Amino acid sequence: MLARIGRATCVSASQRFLHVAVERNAAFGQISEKDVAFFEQLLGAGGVVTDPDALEPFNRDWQKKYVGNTKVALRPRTTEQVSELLRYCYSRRLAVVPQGGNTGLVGGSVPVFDEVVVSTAAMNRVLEFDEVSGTLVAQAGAVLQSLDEYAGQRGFMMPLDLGAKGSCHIGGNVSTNAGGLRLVRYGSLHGSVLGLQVVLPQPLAGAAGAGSGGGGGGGDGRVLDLLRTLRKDNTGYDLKQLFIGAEGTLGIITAVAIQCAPRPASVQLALLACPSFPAVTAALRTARRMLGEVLSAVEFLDSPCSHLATAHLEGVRNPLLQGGAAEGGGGGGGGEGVTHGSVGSAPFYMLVETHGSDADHDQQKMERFLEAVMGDGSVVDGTLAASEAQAKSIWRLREGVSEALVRRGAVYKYDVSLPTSSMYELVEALRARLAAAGFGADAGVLVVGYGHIGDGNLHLNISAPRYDDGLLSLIEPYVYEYVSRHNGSISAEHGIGLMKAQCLSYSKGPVAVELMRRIKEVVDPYGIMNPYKVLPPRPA
Amino acid sequence: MSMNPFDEIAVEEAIRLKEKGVATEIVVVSVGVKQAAETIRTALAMGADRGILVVAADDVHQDIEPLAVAKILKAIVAEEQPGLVLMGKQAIDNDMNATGQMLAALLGWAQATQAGAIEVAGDKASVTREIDGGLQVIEVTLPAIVTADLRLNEPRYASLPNIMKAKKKELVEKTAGDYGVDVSPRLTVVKTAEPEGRKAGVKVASVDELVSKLKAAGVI
Repeated sequence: MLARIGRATCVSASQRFLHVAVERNAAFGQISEKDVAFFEQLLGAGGVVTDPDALEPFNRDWQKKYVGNTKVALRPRTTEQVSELLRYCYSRRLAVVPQGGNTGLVGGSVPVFDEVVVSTAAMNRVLEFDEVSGTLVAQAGAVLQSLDEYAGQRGFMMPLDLGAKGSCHIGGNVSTNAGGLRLVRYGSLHGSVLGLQVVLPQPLAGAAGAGSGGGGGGGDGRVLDLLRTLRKDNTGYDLKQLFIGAEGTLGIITAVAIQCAPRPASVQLALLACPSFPAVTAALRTARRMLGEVLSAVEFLDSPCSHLATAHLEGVRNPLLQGGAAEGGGGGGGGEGVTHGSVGSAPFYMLVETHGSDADHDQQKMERFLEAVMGDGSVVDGTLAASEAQAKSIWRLREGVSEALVRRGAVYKYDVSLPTSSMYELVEALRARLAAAGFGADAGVLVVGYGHIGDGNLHLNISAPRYDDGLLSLIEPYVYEYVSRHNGSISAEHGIGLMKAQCLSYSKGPVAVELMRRIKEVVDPYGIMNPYKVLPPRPA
Repeated sequence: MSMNPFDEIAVEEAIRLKEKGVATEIVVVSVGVKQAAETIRTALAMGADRGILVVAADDVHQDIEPLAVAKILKAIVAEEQPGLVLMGKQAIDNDMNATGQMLAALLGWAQATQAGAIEVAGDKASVTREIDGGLQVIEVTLPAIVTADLRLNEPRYASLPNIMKAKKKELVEKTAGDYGVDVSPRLTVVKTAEPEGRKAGVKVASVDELVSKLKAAGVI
């Protein structure tokens, strides 16, 4: 059984809570003009941001929930510059926050106080691509969507996809072990990342490291060069796995080698309406059995999510709903981009996608699957995208839920792993709990569930007109305790960041947490790498 | 393989006419490779009643020219005797925008092309056409050819129950030879040239210089 911290108070999403619960580490240095001068000399004036207005996007996260107070953001262009930067920051005990696309959802990518932001935005080049093996090597600041387009032009695709693809950096994806929409088919970054180049805060070897693997790094002993494009390499501990998901607390990833997958010749997407959650899991079982080797994504969303997306986003509609969106395509008979003769709003929707090499084979598989799930009643309605435009539109319905929630008002976001068959019970239990305390639908509070059902990953969201500590105290630690009781994970893919930094023990026992602390101390004795996040401090 | 977007709009319009009670049966026709049967199935899933696939090419890259298609359609029209022929205004691979017009000429029927709206009353149809200057409304006597433009409607998604039902609907396969039409290409490309690039302009330092240059060019 997992041990639990008896009185853990997880740092909440409310801005007020943050500054009360965490204190700035007095041992850290404070930015001075001399420091800025050094940075400017190293990176050029264009690589150093000190203007308060220009610093705002570096200080604030995407959801506008976490706001820091850095006085300087840096934009290095090369690994050597990053190494010099960290050497200097280490010598001055200046705390550092590595920042990619700043699309994280747990406050891990922005400063808590005045930590120096080191952005990978200027390190966005593709370094290498092998058209035979499909291995791609890129600097950490390359945007995921750009890499996917680059790979696409060569007949390949990136092995991960997520809603933030237009902004997130591959280095950030690796640092957070991002999951996304296609993990069920292409696996996690722990499998698809072949190599990394990481800059450590303190040097671990003398200059010009031994061995032929010196590569371009080595430098002053703080560049960890694990950048290989080998599928198999059993030579000692697999160190790159430490940094995948370390959320910038051990070092800064400066380059990534990743295995791309062949771009599928045939893609199919079905949007299905299910009458109940057991029907959803039944359809998932059937999909695994009948679509198996070509299944590339299985997502679900509940009916409130569908309404949110269509109500708050321009041009998004659910093709299975009569009349389309709230402000839909007007009245009268006719298409308006929906199906006809559909049953009205269903409690659950699923997206089932296939990637394969042969359109005819895949269509037959999909047809048999659809017949089976329509036949056994687990699906009551659905549609098959007939063109790329329709497929994009259907994905927009699912991918837009997150954005729609932010537009509606305040959002409390939870990302958990739970046993698939009972996953939705948490949503129902929380909904009932909040309603009983006066935070129900009439109070404008919505409790919704959606996510990567193929991976056992639920995105539980509570949408309210405004942030409210009373509401929060009903949600936390209830959600974490529920997940812990079911041996689940309090963070399936979003990571710990600042939001859950006190909550690690809900999912990891004391031996594991202590080993993590020791590794952190060896690699980063001054603790300057992304402080206040991920690991809870040792109990006094 | 997805349906030509303008054809999809034409199919949607046909289904709406049937839903309004104006049409009694929708027959969908495609001329091309065997795989085009997929697009016919999609149309059947949207609500068409039966399909005719005319296999006229083995290779999807082989172009079937508008006149050949129009001749095949003329033969099918003679067999089926429709009251209205709805087509996409053009195919997005070669953008010819010719088949509908040629078919009308071969049949001696009225044509209403680039339709943005259609109203059918008795044996007449009032069609709003999208033209360069704006919108033009014409009245044609049925049977007629109408070609669909972008704003005519937004096509529906085919629902799963209908996709299942469509598999049982009739899809007949024919060849160009069955209609006595020779689809060998008749058009030859005489010349292809890029449009002339824009010549670089000249920067002038003052209004006076501008005026003198314009005068020298005989413009003023």
